Amino acid sequence: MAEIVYDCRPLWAVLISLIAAGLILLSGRHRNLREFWTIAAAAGKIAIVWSMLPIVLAGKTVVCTPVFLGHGLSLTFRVDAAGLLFAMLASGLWLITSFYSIGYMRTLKEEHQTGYFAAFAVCLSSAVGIALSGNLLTFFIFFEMLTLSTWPLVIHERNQEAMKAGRQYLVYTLVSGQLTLAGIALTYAVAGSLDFVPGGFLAGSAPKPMLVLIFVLLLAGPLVKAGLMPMHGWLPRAMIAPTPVSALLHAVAVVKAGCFGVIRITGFVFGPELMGELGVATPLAVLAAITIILASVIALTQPNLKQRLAYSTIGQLSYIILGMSLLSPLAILGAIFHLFAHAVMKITLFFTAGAIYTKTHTLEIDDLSGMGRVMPLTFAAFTLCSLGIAGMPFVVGFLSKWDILLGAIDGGNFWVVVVLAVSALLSVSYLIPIPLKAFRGATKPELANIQGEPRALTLVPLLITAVLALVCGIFPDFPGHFYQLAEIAVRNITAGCY
Amino acid sequence: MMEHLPVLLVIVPLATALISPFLSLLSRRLSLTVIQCAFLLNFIQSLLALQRVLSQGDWHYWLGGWNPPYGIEFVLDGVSAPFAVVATGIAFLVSLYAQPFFRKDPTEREPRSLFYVLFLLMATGVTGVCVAGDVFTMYVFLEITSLSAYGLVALGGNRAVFAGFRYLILGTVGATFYLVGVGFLFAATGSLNIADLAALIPNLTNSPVVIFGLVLILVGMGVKSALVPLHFWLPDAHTQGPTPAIAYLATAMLKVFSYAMFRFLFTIFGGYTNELASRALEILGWLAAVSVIYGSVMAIAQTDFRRMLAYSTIAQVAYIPLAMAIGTPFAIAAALLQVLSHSMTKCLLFMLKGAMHVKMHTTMIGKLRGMGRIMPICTAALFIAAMSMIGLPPASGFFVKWQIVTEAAGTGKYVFIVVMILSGLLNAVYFFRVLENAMFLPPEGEAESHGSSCRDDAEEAAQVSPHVESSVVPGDPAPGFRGELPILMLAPIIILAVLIIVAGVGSGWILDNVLNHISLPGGGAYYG
Repeated sequence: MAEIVYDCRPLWAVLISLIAAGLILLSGRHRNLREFWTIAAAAGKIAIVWSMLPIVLAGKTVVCTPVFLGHGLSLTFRVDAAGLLFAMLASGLWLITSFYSIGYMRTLKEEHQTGYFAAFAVCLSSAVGIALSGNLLTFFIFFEMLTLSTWPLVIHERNQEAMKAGRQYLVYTLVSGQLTLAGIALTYAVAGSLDFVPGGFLAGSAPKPMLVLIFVLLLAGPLVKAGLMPMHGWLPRAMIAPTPVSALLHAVAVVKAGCFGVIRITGFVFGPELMGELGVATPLAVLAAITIILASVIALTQPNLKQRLAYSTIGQLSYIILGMSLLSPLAILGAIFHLFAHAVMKITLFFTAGAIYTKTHTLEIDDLSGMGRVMPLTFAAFTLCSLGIAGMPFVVGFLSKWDILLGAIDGGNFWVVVVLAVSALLSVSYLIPIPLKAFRGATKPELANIQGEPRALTLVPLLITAVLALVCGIFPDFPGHFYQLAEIAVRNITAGCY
Repeated sequence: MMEHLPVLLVIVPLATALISPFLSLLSRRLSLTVIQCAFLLNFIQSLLALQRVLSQGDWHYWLGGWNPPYGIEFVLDGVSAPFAVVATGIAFLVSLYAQPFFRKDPTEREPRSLFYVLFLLMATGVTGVCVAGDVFTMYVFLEITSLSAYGLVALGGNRAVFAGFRYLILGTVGATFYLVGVGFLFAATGSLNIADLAALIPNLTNSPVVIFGLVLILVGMGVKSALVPLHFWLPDAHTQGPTPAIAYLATAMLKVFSYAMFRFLFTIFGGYTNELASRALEILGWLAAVSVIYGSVMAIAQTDFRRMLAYSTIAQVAYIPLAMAIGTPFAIAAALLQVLSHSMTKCLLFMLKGAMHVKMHTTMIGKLRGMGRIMPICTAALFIAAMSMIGLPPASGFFVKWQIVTEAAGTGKYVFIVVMILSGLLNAVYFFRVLENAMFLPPEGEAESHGSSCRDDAEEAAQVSPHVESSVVPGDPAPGFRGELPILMLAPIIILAVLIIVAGVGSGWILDNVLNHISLPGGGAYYG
């Protein structure tokens, strides 16, 4: 067992943006002060979370149990490699997104900005809480808080359509969340503990059918958030939210929280071995593979850029689920690293979509024809990350997919190779035509008067993430040792098999 | 004085109830001050009593020094002492809230002194039931509570008189059942003292007299605690009665009958160590499950916030018998946590209902649009209350649900898991509908201006003064932060909203340090 460091930093990492949310609500009248709180909290969060990196890289875990919850349980934060990876990712991208949000919201003169920034801060608290939680109950508490705090963001536009999307989002996430709650209660009843243990703690605690039931119940919540088909319905509709919301929440925090939940439950509650024994891994892998292909096909048919990205997200998230359910160490490594890789690429794509929208006020792909010549930097970033999503070498997406591929071959699942190849081709064919058209197509007459790149507050963040996607593709341990963290996590899960 | 705390718990509100009408002849303000001091004193007393029970164990107090089973015995133990704290605490907050409420609300007539007398009597009854050590004294206090409740409901105006009358009839039928049941038990054992009965009854459970007695008592308490199918008096009474009265009626007072059931089924009949009680508990559990679902489904069908709350009360109060039916000490602790959690939450919701009534002159869910602008603090409180009702962390309702669900999983009663989860979801359906209207939708006239066309103008206006909007509900000239509500109405709302979160996060502490003195027959102590 790894060495344990007792430290209350995880608690502060969660609290800092909750406090910021309160301050944001109170300073709604002064928008510069309000935005200052957001930026300050984001910077503070990064400082706190990233300061735990050396400890975790040294193979230790940071533990903090601030509150007892009765029944021998407590609110536990336990920072291990996988959790820290997600927390660093979420906190790091929050800062970038905050700048971007300010630029975006001010350019479009959106309403309800106070509520928007406050809900955003609560979301980030929950996401980091999910990342750092040390047992299932803590995980669930933050998971539900995330559901709740995302709702105001989804219905930000306050019109009929947004309200409908919000309701649908709630139905999907609350129902599945309650199933997860039942699963957690059953887990507690059979195992008497809820603490995450690398490699799982449920083996031999109950008869097989019971364990399968628990597996299905526990995964219900995370899988819905991760948009596994056929539980993905809420995700494309939630794209009605402003683009920064889609960017951070639907490419990073919410859906990634779902994926991270899958990683936690498969890797730290059940463990690859038990999943293999129960025979639940293959159905999950098949479902993920179907989602990958089907989502890509649907993405091809979407005329709206955001919708296309939404379906692309659904497909890409299933890579993580697929990697976790292939059970071989390399595939798990790929899955965990894909958490980071996809986040960086997809946030860039959403940023570009939003940046384009601030200029053109349309996201129909046909209308974007010729816009690449007007905004070359924006579309260059888009092209780069599109290629990354498809899995081109030297962009960060390649590494994770390559690992999943190797892992699949390792485990003898040769059909996965076909799935990955088809998916890569589909990705190219639904993403690449967009920049092609933008650079080479004729400009629409009604958009002819658009000049220049978007304002700096929106442009710079997306360039940063695009460059990051490229640099990390070559040096995967820059800037936060993400690859190394993923390796440590895999070593823990597979008890040194990697 | 400390030695006589159990009886003083009852005497303080009772004496105040008798004095206050005379005081109000002298000075209305003096009378109100005395009343509020009495409620505060009562709350402090119950805290002291709880502290003593926690440190020194069960507290048996013999009235006038007469030893039981001849004299009247008052008992405070690990169940009744926390219950008394909740009841007196809620009573204090409600009494604060009521004072400006009657002044502010144009539709309420001026029944204030009558209201306070009845309210004090009701509080007397509730604390009385908590401390009662024999089943007849319990009956007396139950009836003090109930009779004042009928009167309080009837204070609400024309339609309330009818609702109150119906409540009176059904409540009296329930009381009669209870009394006859107690009579049967007395005939079989020759005793009324609870401790005495607990020793005698478990050997007599084959006797038809005892069985029939228990059935009568449970039916009587079932009527009073509005367990489906004996609930039909509740929606009308809780819709029509004056808000502050209902804020206590639907919370601490309604749960006292579940408490009485607990006393009979567990303390006297031995809980799951006894075959008869086990069977009764099983039936009770099923009825509670039906109540939970029925109340929630009916709440969804309501368009009036008041009525929705009334049905939701039926559902939420049934969590208590549901947890009792699980029967472990932890489940009982969870039931007590629900007493705390639901009392606070529902009290808060009724206070908010009163606030809507005063400020917006409506409680129809569809007309609550724009509440977020007129009453930002109340809307935030509404959000917290809704979280607690649905059972979303970190509000206290979640932890109640979590405890009940884990206990159900631990004892293999999987049906209850399904019921609890379904209940949470149904709660979500009707509360999110309210939240959508109250928090996010703009006031009615403004709804269409949110298209993209005039976004710029709206934004500029919002940037200049985000909180003071031009369009508000007609008839309310000065909305905004400062004039939200009079401080005495707002303070209990804020206190309760904060306490819901505190009780949620601190639920583990409460369970481990306050509710750990629950001992059940058959050696079921806390932590086994």
